[in-house]
Formats: sequence, structure tokens, C-alpha cells
Amino acid sequence: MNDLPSDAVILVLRIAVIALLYLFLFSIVVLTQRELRAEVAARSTSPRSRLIVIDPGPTPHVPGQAITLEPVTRFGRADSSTVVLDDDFVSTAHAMVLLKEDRWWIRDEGSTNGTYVNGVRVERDVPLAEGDELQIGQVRLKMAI
Amino acid sequence: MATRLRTSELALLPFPILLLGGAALLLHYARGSEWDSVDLAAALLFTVILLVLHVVLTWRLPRADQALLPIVAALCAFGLIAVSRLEPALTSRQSLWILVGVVALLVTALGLPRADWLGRYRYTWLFGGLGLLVATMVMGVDPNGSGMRLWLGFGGYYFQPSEILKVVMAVFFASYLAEKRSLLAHAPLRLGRLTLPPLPYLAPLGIMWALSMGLLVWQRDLGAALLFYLVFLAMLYAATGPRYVGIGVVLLVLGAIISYGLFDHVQLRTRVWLDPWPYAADDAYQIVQALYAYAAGGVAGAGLGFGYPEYVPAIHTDFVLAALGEELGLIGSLGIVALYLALVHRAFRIALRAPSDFTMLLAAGLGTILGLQAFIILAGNLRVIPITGITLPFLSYGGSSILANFVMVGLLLRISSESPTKGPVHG
Repeated sequence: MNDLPSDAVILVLRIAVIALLYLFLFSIVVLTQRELRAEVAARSTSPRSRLIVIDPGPTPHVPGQAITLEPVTRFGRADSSTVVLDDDFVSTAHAMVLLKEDRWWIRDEGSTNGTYVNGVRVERDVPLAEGDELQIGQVRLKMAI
Repeated sequence: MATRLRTSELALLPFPILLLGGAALLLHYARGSEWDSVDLAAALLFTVILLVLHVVLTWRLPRADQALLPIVAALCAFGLIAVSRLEPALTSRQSLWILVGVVALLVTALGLPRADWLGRYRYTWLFGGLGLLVATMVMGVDPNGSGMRLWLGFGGYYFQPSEILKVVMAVFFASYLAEKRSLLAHAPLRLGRLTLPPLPYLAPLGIMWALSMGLLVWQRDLGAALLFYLVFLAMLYAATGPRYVGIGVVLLVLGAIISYGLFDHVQLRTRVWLDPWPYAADDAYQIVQALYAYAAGGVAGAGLGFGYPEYVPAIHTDFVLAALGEELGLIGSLGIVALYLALVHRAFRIALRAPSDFTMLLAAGLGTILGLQAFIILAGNLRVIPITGITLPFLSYGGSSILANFVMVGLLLRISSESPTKGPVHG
């Protein structure tokens, strides 16, 4: 009992314990905020992928032109399409490219003349890889992820 | 690619260790005695356990949630402080239980082939859990004179099956609801012109609920019964939306009225809750002493080791908040409540990023269990609701409770490690 510390030491320790608790809580809030920011950033930068026009067919696109993909990109002759393809062989709502489970997929929307990936007709959703060649009507495009 | 090191976790882990160290120093000064070697050993063991866990997680589950372990560690640190303050003789047992809990956490988090695997064997878990409950009814013992035979004993150690049962039930509900959620949420049952919810699909849930409820009520463990029912309701809500909330609340009120009518101890607890003062010398002694403790603590608290927790009976199991409220004050108690809030937030975050319906519902259910359990006992300690004897997760002294809570954290860690990196987030 002879080396009992002064009240000041105990007061400092008491403040330190409470301060540690609140600093810890604050650090968790900061961590959560950082994680949320990183997630938002990851979601907005991942669809950097594009389709490169190889053969525009009768449409006004030019070879080598890049079409930036959106999470849902609709191709068709209709004015409401994301990418309007004015080609008689393209249906009104022809196909769509979509981001699903962190990958790009192509889906044929019941077009008359079909959608082809590397020469194979798309029946159900097909995942797309770098360099895959798409054909929609007379338009040919290449995937660049 | 993101770094595979768990740097955020490593940066957060010193806090619980320093908290435990600072508090141990305070207790040492308050006691004015020589260093307690048990306290030192407990603090050292705690530090080693955390570092080993961190290394194992970095090695095997690098993508698991990084805040979960530090939050749980901080709660465990307060648990160790409370035990060492209130029942020093139990400190070594509590740290051993934490060690056993961590082993259970690792077995759960690393041993499962996939988190979804659990859902495939739901009836195995269900009957295992109910078997435990029946075993408690037949062979249950009451080692600490609480008047309720809720424990199973093996060679000097006692185990409370309802603690493990809550995990098993969460797994069962999650698996059942994940499979039937669209049916439950949409398919109507038509009876002439009346449209009813799809009762046939709710029947297994209802029977199961009534069975576990009946058993619990028969064992008079009302805190656990309340927890089970609310968790069941919360998971039904998470799976199907607001459709069943109304009827669920009506059933809850009905259940409360019936148990008030049937059980003396429910009437007693309600009476003591509404107005404890006439019974301050006997039935309400515990809650009244706790209220005095909070008043004595005030905003800043008396300081660790400078209060008089010996006036509150069963303080290290049922009334930990009374001790913390007196010695750490309102500031410290709010900080601890915030720790539970952070824990629940993490669990729900994991649920939103879970890889499947089953894991999403399971994570949401586990978060609900931890949050509700903390709420039921904290609110009971503060006379916000009648007191029911359930444990404060990670803080109360008690082996089975710590074991079950660590298993739940293991499941949450595993689910979070399986979440898709960038993929869609559940609505």
C-alpha cells in the first residue's frame, strides 16, 4: 500500500480507458466509411469495357470506333436503344450486353436474324471474353474488356 | 488486385489489448495489492489468442470481414475486466472459455466445405437441437441455485443447451426460408373469396416454433423463448417482407398475456418492473440495487475498482451492466452499447453482401440474435423491460454462451469471406 499512486495517475488511467474505447469506435466508423467508398469506386470503374466496331455494315459507325458498355446496353433499330443500329437486318430490339456477377454477358432478345458470338448463334445468355467477335445484323463488333 | 493482408484488422487489434491492459492497471491500483498473476496470464493469453487468430485468418480467410474480430475482442476484453473485477476466482475459467470459443470459431470458419453446406442438413441440425432440449428436460440440472434446470453437466462442467439451440434454429430458419421464400412471399391460399397466407408452407415453421416455445416455457426460460420468437419473426421479415409482421406481433402480445396468466414468476417480474420500490427489500432487491449503482456511477463513473458491485446479486452473469454503469459511468456504458451496435451493423453488412439467399438470411439471423440478446438483457438491467435471465453476449460470465457466440462469429467470418468481390449487392 505504500506505493499507492496519486489520484492524478488514476484519473489519467480512467480517461485513457474511456478514450481508447471511443477511439476504437471511431476507427471502426472510419474503416466502414473507407470500405463503402472503395465499393462505390469499384462499381463505377469496373465497366470500362468497350466494343470496337470492325465492320459497321450500313450504319454510320466507323471501323475502329469504340462503344463504351453500360451495365445494360441495348442494341436495336429502335430509337430507344442504347446503341441504335440502323440496319434492315437488325430487329427493333435485337440484343443486349449486360453486366452480371462481375462479367459481361450477351443476350439475344428474340431477334429475327439472330446474334452471333464467334460465329455461334446466341440461344441463352453467353459470357463474353476479351477478343470475342459479335455479329448483330450486318454489324460486326469486337469485345475489349 | 487488392492486398491480401488484413491491415485494417491488424490496426484495430491493439485497441482491445490496450483496453484490457489499462483496465487491469486500474484494477491493480484500486486493489492496492501485488500484481495478480492470474490477471497477467489472462491478458497475455488474450493477446496471444488475438494475434494467432489474426495470422490464421490472414492465411486461410484473407477476405473475411476485418472489423468483426476487433469488435468481439473489445467486448471480450470488457468481459474479462468485469469477471476479474467481480469474481476474480473465475478469471482463469473465463479466459479458458475464450480460448475454447476461439477454437470453436476456427473449426466453424475453416471446417465448413462451404457456408451453404450447412443449409443442406437442416433437419439434422433441427433434430439435434431438439434432442439437446429434450435431454435438458430429462437430465437437466441446476448447478447455481437459479431455480431453473437449464444445464447439462459433464464431469464438473455445465453446459446450457439453449445457447447452442439458438444457432441451430438460425441455421434451420435460414435454410427453410431461403427455399420457400418466394412461395411464402407471394403464393396466396384461396378459400372462397378469402385470400389467406399460404398456411401449408408455414405449418412446419409454426409447429417447430410452437414445439421449441412450449419446451422453453415449460422450462421457464422465458428470456430464451422471447429471443427465439423475435429472431424467428425478424428472419421471416428479412425473407418475405412486411407480410407477416402484423400477425407476428399479435401472436407475441397474445403469448405475453398467456404467459402472464400462467406463470407466477412472470407476474412477479412484471410487478417488480412496473414498481420495484415496495419490494425493494426482497423480490426487487436486485433491480433496485442496480438502479442505485447507475445513480452512484453518474456520467463519468466511479472508476474501475472504485464502485460497490457486491450489493447487486448475480452481477457477473445477469447484471454486468450494473457494474459497468457504476464504475465506467454513462460514458463507458454507452460506448459498450455502441460496440454491440457496430457488431450488429457488421453482421447486416455481411448479410447484404452474402453469396446466396441462405447465407444472407443466416447472417441476418445471427446479427439479430446478437443484437436482440444484448438489447433484452441491457434493457432488463435498466428496467426498460422486465428482467429475463439471458446472458450479455461476450460480456457475461458463462461458458456455453461464449462458445455459442464464438461459433456465430465464425459463421459470419466464413460467410463474409465467400461474398463476391464486386458483384451485385442484395436490395
